[in-house]
Amino acid sequence: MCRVLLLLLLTNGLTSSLHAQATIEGRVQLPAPSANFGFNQRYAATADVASPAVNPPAAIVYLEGNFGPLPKLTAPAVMAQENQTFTPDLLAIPVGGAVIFPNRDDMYHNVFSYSKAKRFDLGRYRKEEKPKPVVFDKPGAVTIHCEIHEAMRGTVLVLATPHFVKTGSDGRYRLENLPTGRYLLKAWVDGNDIREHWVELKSGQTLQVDFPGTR
Amino acid sequence: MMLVVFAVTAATVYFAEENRSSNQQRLLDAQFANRVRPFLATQEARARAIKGKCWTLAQAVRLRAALEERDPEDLYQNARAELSELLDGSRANGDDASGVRASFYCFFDAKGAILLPENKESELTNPNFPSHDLQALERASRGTTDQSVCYLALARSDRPVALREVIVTRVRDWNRKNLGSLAVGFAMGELQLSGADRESGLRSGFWLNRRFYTDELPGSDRRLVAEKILLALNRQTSAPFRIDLTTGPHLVFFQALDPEMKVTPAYQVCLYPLAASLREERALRWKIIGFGLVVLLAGFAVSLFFARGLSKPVEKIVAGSKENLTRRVQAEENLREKNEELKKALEELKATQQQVIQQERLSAVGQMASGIAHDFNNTLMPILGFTELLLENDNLLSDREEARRCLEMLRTSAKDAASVVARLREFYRPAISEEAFPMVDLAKIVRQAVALTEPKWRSQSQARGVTFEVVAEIAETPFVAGEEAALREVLTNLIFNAVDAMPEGGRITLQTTIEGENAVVRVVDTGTGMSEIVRQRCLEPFFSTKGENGTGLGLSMVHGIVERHHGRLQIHSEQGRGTAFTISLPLASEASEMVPAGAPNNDFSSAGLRVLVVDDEAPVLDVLARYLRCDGHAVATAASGREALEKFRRNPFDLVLVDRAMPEMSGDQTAKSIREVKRDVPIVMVTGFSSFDKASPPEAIDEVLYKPITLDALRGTIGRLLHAA
Repeated sequence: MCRVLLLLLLTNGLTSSLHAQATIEGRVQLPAPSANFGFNQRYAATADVASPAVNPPAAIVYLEGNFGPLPKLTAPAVMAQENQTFTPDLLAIPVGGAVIFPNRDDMYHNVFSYSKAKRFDLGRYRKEEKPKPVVFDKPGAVTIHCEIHEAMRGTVLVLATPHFVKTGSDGRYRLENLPTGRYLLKAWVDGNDIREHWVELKSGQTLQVDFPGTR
Repeated sequence: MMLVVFAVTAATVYFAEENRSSNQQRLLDAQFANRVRPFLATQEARARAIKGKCWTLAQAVRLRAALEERDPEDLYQNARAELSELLDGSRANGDDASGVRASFYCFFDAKGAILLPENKESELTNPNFPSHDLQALERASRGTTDQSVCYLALARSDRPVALREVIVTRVRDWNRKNLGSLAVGFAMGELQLSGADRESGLRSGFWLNRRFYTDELPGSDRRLVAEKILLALNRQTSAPFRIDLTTGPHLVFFQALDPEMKVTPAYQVCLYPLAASLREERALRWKIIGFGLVVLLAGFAVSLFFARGLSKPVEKIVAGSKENLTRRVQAEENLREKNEELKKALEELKATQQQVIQQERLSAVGQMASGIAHDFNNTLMPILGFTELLLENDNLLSDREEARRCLEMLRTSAKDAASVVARLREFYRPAISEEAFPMVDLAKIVRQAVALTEPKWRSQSQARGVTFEVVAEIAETPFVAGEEAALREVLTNLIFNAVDAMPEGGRITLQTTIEGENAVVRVVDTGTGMSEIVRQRCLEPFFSTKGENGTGLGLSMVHGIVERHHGRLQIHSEQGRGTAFTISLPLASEASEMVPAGAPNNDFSSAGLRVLVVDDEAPVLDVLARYLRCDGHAVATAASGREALEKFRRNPFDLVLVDRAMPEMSGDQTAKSIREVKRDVPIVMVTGFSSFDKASPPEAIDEVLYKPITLDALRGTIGRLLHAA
């Protein structure tokens, strides 16, 4: 009988936890990808000069609120330097997460940031060298630069919430297992373009929230 | 002449001064340019060096990243690393362009606000700008696209004003996105003036932001200079201008340090003292004036000297020209007079011309008249002649046959005279060209002519005691279409001429023949004949060989008549032997109407009428009355219209003959009055005029008879009227 009760409780808890979940999905209108490679286009035609890749545009949609302890990342996130670009150029990690910056190109790269959230400088290193992972313990946007290549730009968004997702290249996102309540839903497109939307979450509900472009 | 000298002197003074001032200006300009050039060159070089360094720095990724993050620490750290050379000024050497030393540097963010480092470490990074300078800098930084230059005057409490040239460089990321700007300032050098320049009082300074910065010049002067320069700049002139300072008049030169700089323009200014040059100018002016006066006096003297020498010929010339003038005027007067005279002469001439034309006309008339008169006289001759013959010779009278013949001749002549008068019609009526000529018998005409002219040659022969013989050889009797009287006249003329041509007597032969289609009449005489010249001219009017006795018209009339008859006249003459006149006339065709002229009209059957004859001329009245009485009519006469009316009222009449032209009551009026008394009485008007149309007689008149009236005509008219009645 106790087992049955326990089972019931458990299922109740499960079901209640199941019932307490809301979903938000939608679409963020993303700006068109920049065509400026920061690289002289004239030389892009020659085969031996590698042209830098262009990352597809994306945004990070996250729910701002006090959600308790953040989960720990099992493995450090990766922001690689590949084809003279940071790949991915937008990375969202929870506070306390670590990121490694491997160099996958044949040339020297340098990773540094002057951002207030994290100031670091990994110096110049080649492919073989494995730099130490960098732990980001303050929330905020950290702009990653490469000293040698002026066009290389990456952002690590350190978030104090576990509920975040990166949109697809089309701008669609889906946040699941969200607690009920009233929270502020934010979409981070870039440092100057952070869109907000208050949401009222009810259990079992799927909200449709779109973030149209401001410009 | 004085005026000329004055003018020349004034001009000289003016031009000399102008020249001098412009020369001086040019000289000073050149000097100024020379001084300014090296200074500007140095400044330019320094600016270039700093610009280069700034630009390089602005490309640095770290700097950009730091500026983007607005992190002053990193910013200034990075900047220091790059600008170390500039900032340390380790190789600082005033004149060496590469070793220019920056006096300060600072960053501005994307919005143009200044970014100062948190730890204000050195003065270099904290220039402590006064607010307006800071604003100027911020403005400059906002206005910069890539790199620009501006000028600042930094005032400090303890030190004199520091003039700085500031290079502002814009920092952009690789996307050309504005991140901010970097401003580096360095000191502006000084214009190098040589000792000589300084001694002469030359001064230099800077004009910056409406202020003039220089040393050793009182404040008021500086302000004045600054104002004037501002004015000049507003007017957009860069020419040097004159200014009066406390130390004396100066010439101000200025030049922009950076011509493209608009935000905070700065100008290098040089003050050149003018006192010395003004003194020189004045001295020169007086010299020129003095010289002018001397020239004037000299000219005066010279002119006086020459006046005497020159005035005489001049006066002569003047007098000469006056003479010429008067002569010309006289000549003009003469010309005008002559002109007048000519005009008068021309007018007279024209008048004379008119007169001559008039006379010619008259003479033509006269010619015609004299022709008519001549013919008339010719016809009168036989009339008078035969009348005299009859009166003188009783034998002739008693011989009835002879007397009758004479009277017939008389009648013929009278008719001829009438026809001559009729020709007068040509004067007032255009000649009717194609009159149908009646048929005439040439032979009869010849005979008549001979008979008519008989008195002449008979009396002539008796007077002179010579013998004339007139023979008529009538071979045939040709009929021609012509005027009887005219043809008679022709022959009469020719016979008379022949008689005149034979003063000793001779023989005149008249022949009539038919030759071919022509009727030929020949008049041949055995007279003196004509010379060739006379023969050619004999047909000319007024040409006569008879001197005073001849009119010269006879043969011209003959010729005229022959022409009218479409005939031909030929003259053969031999001097001493005689002359032959041959007239050929076209024969009358048988188709033409045979209207024998002068056939008496005998069919009438009226007799015993009571006739009233009215005429104011007694002879005409007599003739008419006798005519009628001869025919067996009872005739009453009246000498005036009134008398006629009285008689008509008292007695009945069958016929009235009234003359047209009567005094008091004209023929027309008489006829009208008679008509009122009795409506249907036939009235005949007898008139000497042929002025109105035969076709339309006046109202009251039934018929018109023209004088001279022949019995036949009268009888014919009476017959017609009474038959009609």
